[in-house]
Order: sequence, then C-alpha cells, then structure tokens
Amino acid sequence: MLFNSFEYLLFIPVVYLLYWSFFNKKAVLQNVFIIFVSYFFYSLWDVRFLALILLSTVVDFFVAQKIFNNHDDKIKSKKWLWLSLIFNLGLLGVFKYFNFFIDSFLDMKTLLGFQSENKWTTLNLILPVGISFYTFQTLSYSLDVYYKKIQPTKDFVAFAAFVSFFPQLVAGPIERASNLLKQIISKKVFSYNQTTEGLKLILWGLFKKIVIADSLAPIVDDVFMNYQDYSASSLIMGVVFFSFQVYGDFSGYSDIAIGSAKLFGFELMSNFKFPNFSRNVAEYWQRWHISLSTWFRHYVYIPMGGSKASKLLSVRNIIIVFLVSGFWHGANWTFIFWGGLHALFYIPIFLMGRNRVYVDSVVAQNSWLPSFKEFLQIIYTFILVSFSRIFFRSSSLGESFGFINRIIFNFNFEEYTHPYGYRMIDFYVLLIIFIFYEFLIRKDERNPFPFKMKGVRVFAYSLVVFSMLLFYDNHEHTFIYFQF
Amino acid sequence: MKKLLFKIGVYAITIFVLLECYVRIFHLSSDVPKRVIDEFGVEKRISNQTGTNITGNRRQHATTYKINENGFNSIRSQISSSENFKLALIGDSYIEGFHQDYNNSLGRMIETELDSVEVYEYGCGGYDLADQFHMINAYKDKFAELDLIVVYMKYENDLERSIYTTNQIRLNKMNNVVGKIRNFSKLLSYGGGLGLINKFGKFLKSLKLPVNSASQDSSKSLITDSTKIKNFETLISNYGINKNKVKLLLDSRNTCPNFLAFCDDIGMCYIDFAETLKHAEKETTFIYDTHWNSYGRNLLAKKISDCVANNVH
Repeated sequence: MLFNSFEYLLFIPVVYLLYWSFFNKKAVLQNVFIIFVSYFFYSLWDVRFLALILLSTVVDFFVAQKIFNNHDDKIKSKKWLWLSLIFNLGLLGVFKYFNFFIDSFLDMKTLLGFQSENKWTTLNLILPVGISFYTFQTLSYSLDVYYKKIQPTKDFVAFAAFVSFFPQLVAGPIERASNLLKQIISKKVFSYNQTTEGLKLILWGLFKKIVIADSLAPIVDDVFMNYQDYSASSLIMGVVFFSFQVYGDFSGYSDIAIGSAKLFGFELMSNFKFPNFSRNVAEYWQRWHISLSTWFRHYVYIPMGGSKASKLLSVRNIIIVFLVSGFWHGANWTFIFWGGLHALFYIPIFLMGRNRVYVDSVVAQNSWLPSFKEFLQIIYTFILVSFSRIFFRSSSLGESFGFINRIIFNFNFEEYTHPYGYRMIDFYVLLIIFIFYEFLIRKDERNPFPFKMKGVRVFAYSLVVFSMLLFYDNHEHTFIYFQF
Repeated sequence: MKKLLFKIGVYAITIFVLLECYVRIFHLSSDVPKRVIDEFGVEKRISNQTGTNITGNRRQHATTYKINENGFNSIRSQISSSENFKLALIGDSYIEGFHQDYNNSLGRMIETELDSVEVYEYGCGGYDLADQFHMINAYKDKFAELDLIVVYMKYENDLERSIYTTNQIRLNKMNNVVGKIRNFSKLLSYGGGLGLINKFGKFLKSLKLPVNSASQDSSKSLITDSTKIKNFETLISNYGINKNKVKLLLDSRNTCPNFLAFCDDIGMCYIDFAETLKHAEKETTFIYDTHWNSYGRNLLAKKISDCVANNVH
C-alpha cells in the first residue's frame, strides 16, 4: 500500500477513527491495535516477510534483556550484542547482499585470471520491503541498551509496536527507542493541534511526491536511459531534475510518515531539513536523511573514535562511514562509489574544521535573502551533490562514467524534447516556484504552511491540491527508497 | 474530534469550490458534445455544437471540434454531387478526432494527399462494429453515392456483439444524476479526463469480494476469437455489407490471425497500418491517451491514400 494511493486514503481515516474511538482507553490497547494495523499494512506488500519482522522483534527484545542482565559481565553482554549484530546484519546479508557478494567474487576471480568452473550460484531472492530500515531500528535498540543509553523494555507488545509502526516501517525515519519507544509505552491522548499538523505534513508530502517527484520521473528516466542520444545540456538538466526527484520522493515520503504518525499521537524525528539550501556538504549531511546519517554517526563513527581520534584516524572513520552508508543504499558498486565521492567532498571540510559551522543555523538566518557568498555556497554544494547522484541513479559504474564522459567531452547545448512531447517550460516554472517556496519556509520543516490568516492557509491548500491535479501522472510510481 | 471532523468537512467543501473555479478560469476540462439517436436509430452528436477538447493535465493540447449537420465532427457534411472520388471514414473516437482541430482531421489529410477525393467522416466515440455496420445499413441510400467506405476497427473490443441495439447506458450516462453532476462540475470532468475517476472506480471495485471479480473476469474471457469471428460474420450478413465497397482499417499487431484469414476467405479487404506505425520515427500517439497525434494521423492518411490510389489490401 503506497502512501500516495487510494488504498491509503481509505486506510488512514478508518484506522484513525477506530484508534481514537475504540482504543483510546489504555496504552496497551493502542499498541495492540498499532501492531495489528501495521502487520496488515505490511502484509499488503508481502505477507511472507511478516515472519522476518516478527523474528527480528523477538530476537532483539530478548537479546536486549540479556545484554542488560549481563551489564556487569562485559564479555557476556558483548556476546549477546554480537548475536543481535549477526542476526540483523545476517538478514540484510542474505536478502540484500548475497548476490552482490557472489557476483563480485566471481568478477574478481575472472579479473585475476582464474577461469575455474563456476560452482557458486546466486539466489533468486526478493528484497523484503523496508528490511534495511527496520533491521537498523532494532539494531539501534540493542546497541543503545549495550551502551547503557536506555534500559530495555519488558513490554513485548510495546516493543513489537516500536518495530512495526506502519508509518515508518518501510522507509523510515529510522527511529531510536529513546524517542519512539518512550512514546509507545505511554498512553496517547487525542490532540486537535497534533492532528492538524499531521494533516498539513501529509498534504505537503503528497505535493512533493506527486507534483515534484512523479512528474519529473518520466523525464529523468528518459534522460538516463537514452543518455547517449542527448546533448550535454540535456544530461545536466536530467541530473538536476533527478536531484529534485529523489528529494521530492524521499522527503515527501518522510513528511507523510511523520504526518501519519502525528495523527496517532506520535512525534517522529525529522528526516529532511531543506538539504538543497546547504552551504557545504557537511551541512548537507545534517539535513539529508537525518535518521540514517545520525544512525551512522552514533553507531559506527563515534564507536570507531569519531573525530576525537587523530586526524588520520578520523579521516579513516569518515571514509568508512560514507562507504558503509553507500553500501546500505544498495548492493551495487555505484552506491559504494557514491558514498566514496561524498567522503571525498567531506574530508576537506572536516580538515578545515568547517564541518560543524552550520549546525545551528540556516541559510539567510536573519535576512530575507541569502548573501552572495551563501548563494554561491548553495550552488556549489548543489552541483557536488547532484554530480554524485549520477552514480546513485545509474545502473552500473560504466554507465555513470559514460554519462559523465558525454557531459564533459561532448559539451553542447541543445533544447531537450521528451519523446512524448511534454511541455518542458511547465517543469522549469514548477521547480523555480518550489525552490522559492521552500526557501520561504526553510526555518521549520515541520510547518510547511506557516500562514497566520486562515483564508491564506485555505488558499494555499487549494493551490497545492490544484498543482497535484495539474501534474498528476496516471502511472503508479513507487517510492525510490523502497528499493533500499 | 467533532470539531476536527466539522472543520475537515468545511475545508474540503471550500477547497472543492476553489478548485472548480481554477479549472473553469484556466479552462482545463473538455467540453462534451451531447449525443442523440436519430430517426434511423443511429447514435451521433447533436448537430451544430462547437467546443474545445483538452488533452493532458495542463491544457497541453487544446483543439476545437465542430459537429456538422449530420451530427459528426467533420468539415464536410452533405455528400456532393461532384465527379470526385468519394470516401467515407467510419469509426470510433479515433475517427471522430476530437484530439485534432476539425479542419485538420484524418479526412482532410487524405484530401491533401490525393487530388479529386472528398472524404466524409462519420466517427463517434464508443462505436463498435455493430454501430458502424448498422449505420452503413441505415444510411444506405445516402451512402450509395460513395465510392468507398473505410471502417476503422479495433479487434480487441469492437466485435463483442453480433447485433446492433442502441447503447442506452452510454446515452443515460449523460442524463443520469452522476452524468449531470459530472457535466456540471468542470472539476470532475477534468479529473475524469486525467483518469482519476476511473482509477477510483477500479479501486472501489477492487474492494469487492474476490469471488465477484473472478466471475466478472470469467464472463469477460468468454468472448473468444471464434465468437468474435462469428459475430463479424453475422454482422456482415445482417447488415448486407457490400464487400466491394466497404474496407476495414485495422492494426494486424492487435488482431487475431484467424480473423485476418477469415477476412481473406470471405473476400473482405482491409487496410493494415501495423507496419506504418511500427516503423514510425516518432511517437504516433498522445502522451495521455492512445489516440493518434498529428504525426500518427499523417502516417495513417498516407497509408489510406496509398491504398485508395492503388488497390486496397
């Protein structure tokens, strides 16, 4: 069930009304209901993989208890932690990376000149939707207990609701137990304001998905699929469009997830904070897929020593984190290369000590417009990030380099025309308006309609819905991050 | 909760009204000409209606239609008494051609290709072969002056019945409450054009028990190739189709080979445009639907002109 489907449009009000009408007496009732609807929600993707979620829930629930009970015995608690790591990463290894490892191993053998008989075989496995997200979430729970950041819950129902909570089950935000589990354990009380905030976020998320991401998708697909036929200017346009597509797609999904969670009384963490206005790549990573980047910072970067180690070790840590982050996105060398490229962008900023200068501020913090310097910084960062996305979007490294090669060595300007004859000016105007509007609301990602007058708000809602009708594409587009 | 539900209702109505205004201000939805059944029992449009047809979300493609005295979207109406070769094109929405300006229709393109040829168009959206053969029979006196009648046929769904009856469902669609509301609300008409209403309808159908949908599917699949061929045979004999004068226009890629063989056996000629569209250099249809765009129509016009100039088939 996609968030931008009629099914969800029916599902969410029904579940909402049932939740607040019949299950609002006790937290346990609310949680049982959340589990039921979450499992139902997931079963519409693939009922077979419900067992994996259940297994992951059971394993981490009991492992965390064991870690906690053995806190005095470092070796024992570490053994239990290893069990959680092996189980969760094992799941990912089998379902997501097994074929990649086999293929890479065989390629390596061939490269080294070994032509021995191929006894290895790849598995014909379907990637369970959301596996990268919920395994990281359960893993973070065991790690938090191990690092004594939280105490394990004894409430299995609450923990099962924490793992399977439907708004963020299939593509995040990857929540921490310290935030979400705490809320799940306590009884939720109906709040009018929270509901309206949730509805606004859902509307804004749908706008980003339907109007930005889905309308640009056919153009991006065409440019990347037929890049050899297009001029460099068209390829650059395709890359820029893809940047907005992937942003609209994933941040739109996250907004709908956060908004949906709000309807049920939950506050999920923000996943995007206008990354297109980042002034350097370090700021970009503080604003893009925040739940994942903070996950890697807390559970990979800092345990390895983070930036408290020597410069050399810190650089090594940064490289590892970005490569692993790239690998998390998919079992393909393109993602690893993408991660490596971001490490290259990040390291100079880190060495200059500028990786945390924009942590607490946003562009044009105290003015209407950005300064000329900020403007150039934003453009420069956007170019770097968009360039890296060529690897993110391409299906192979060869294709990525072919694409770049065509931009650099065949540079020419030619107006792009889509085979179906889309009127391109519509998309250029759309993106300009979108950038301008996002700039206006850049200070608060949780409030996309910050208008005080009711009439203006209604007018804004109507324009958002109208733009959905204007750019609606009859084809069903799934969310890009579901594949991860 | 009551306050919330009340406010959602008020907001929804306000937004609906505003959207209706936007759609009307920017004229985003198509005008739909009304239908009628004439004294011969032929379904057609009410004469002398004009309007704009919109394809695509953002007025990507806006065209003008003009229903002639005969009730069809065509620049020509009464068959002239000149010595020119007279050709009639009969078909569904592809021939009706609301997706093009009425003065740039498939018929006009054929006339441009060939000298001394007059093309009369009798297209009406939703027609199947029963509608078309019934029309040929009903207008046989008028059509006697024609030299050739080309009937556009889609094998997939044009041979599902063997006898013509007026399509009351289609006519009632415009006159029942839902049809009237849809006709009144430009927003709903626009949403319908985008395929949103169809999609919503499909979603509602999918909510029904699988048993029902299974039985529906099986009833649909009952119309086999042999039934279609049988229907075709019955239609030809019931409506006295003159095989020397009437030719089919079809795409063999979507047509059962047995049907083509049957046409050969009974001496029914057809113009097959499969190769023409297959080797097209550009897209031959619109973005949002499968109707031929200007390039596609041009190819078709050339193909038909060639066939008219030489021997059909």
